[in-house]
Amino acid sequence: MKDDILIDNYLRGLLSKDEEQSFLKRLKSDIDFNEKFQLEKQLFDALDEESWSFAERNTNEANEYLEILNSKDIKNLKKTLAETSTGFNSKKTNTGNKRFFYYLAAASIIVLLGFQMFFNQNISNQDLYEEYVGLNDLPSFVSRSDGSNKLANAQELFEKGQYADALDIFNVFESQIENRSNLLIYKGLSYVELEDYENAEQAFNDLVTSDLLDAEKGYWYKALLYLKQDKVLETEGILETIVSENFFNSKKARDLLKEL
Amino acid sequence: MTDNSFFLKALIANDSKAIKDIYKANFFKVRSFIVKNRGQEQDAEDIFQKALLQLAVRYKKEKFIINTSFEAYLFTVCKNLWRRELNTNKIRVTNNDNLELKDDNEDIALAVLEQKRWELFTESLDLISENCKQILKLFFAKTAYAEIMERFNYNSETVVRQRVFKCKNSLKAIVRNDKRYKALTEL
Repeated sequence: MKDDILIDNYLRGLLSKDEEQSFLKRLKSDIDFNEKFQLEKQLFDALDEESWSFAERNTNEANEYLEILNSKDIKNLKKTLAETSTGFNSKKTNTGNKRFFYYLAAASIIVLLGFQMFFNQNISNQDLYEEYVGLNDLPSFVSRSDGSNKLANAQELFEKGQYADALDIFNVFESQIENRSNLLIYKGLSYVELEDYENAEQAFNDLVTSDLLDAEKGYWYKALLYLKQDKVLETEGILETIVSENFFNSKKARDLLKEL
Repeated sequence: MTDNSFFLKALIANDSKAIKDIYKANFFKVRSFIVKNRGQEQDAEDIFQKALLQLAVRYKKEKFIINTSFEAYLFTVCKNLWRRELNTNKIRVTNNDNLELKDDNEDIALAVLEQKRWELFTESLDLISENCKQILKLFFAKTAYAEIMERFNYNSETVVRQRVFKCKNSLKAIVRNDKRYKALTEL
């Protein structure tokens, strides 16, 4: 137990300078003590969530993995991963068919509302909204179990553009705790698509003022809501907050600010 | 997908369709975790790619078995890689003189070993009594003995020390008896 206490005190930084000196000396000369110490330190580092236990370099096993990593197969895999990642994360390429669908939906709304309103106004703000909102990048409800399957249905309706039907379901589940932040995002965006901006704002405000982990996402969607309504000053104000507070999507907020 | 090795095989076969499915089903969860924990989106992309490479390399060398779902496992690997990254930065900051540029491949290779060690330790921790497990978790998080004493209603710090000592010994015995420990130490 004596050695244990000694090692423990060393790891917690409780030894005096002299004690530490003799401790380090013993580590070099006493192989058993060294093994004991290494395991103890590894346990400390690996099992404490705040730290991480790093491996020694230049071991045989590490070199074997390194060799595989340098093989042609893995190099090809790296390429595929990089391509998939870019395709998945860049706004321009990831949308494919869905994007076409949104344009179609947007186009039909334009027809419905009459041409002048839109063409005279800031089309670019609408484009920016479409570009940044990433409707198909939203978190999914699909993998959740049991009762939440309804939410997966609502998500499907949302993806099909049947926003009013989706809202019927979102509103029923609003009070549930799990998924609440995602739910509010979907709800708000559905209202945006239906051009019911008042209710959209209410949903995003609910998110911002909640004590949910994702509360800060509310700012991002509120900014987009204002953008959609051509309220550029308000949009800029919120985006600046997002950037200065380093909230959700602060990088995108910075990019968007440049484009306004 | 019930067969956990399906995606592992897909990775080493460089099956781009399956890889896309992996992204679809897992990336956002990882991204949200990283962004919530002091990271940026770019970090999430990096970590996710490194995690998949780690799985591919390891599966290529030894056909290891995933005991949970592939999704849960991948998430754990990403979480650990992010822990690693945060601690690497810490080391870089505190140890500026020894700043060394390591290449990605070396990092990935070492991360495989570290992940394996972490798995050995956490699985071993699950094998000891619940009381021991809770005490050791606090102990490894460097909680003061006095606080552990209070939480578990022990009479003195000495009792806590003895309990920690006993629990740690059972844990170390399990670790040392595992053949993976031997492989991880005698390299």
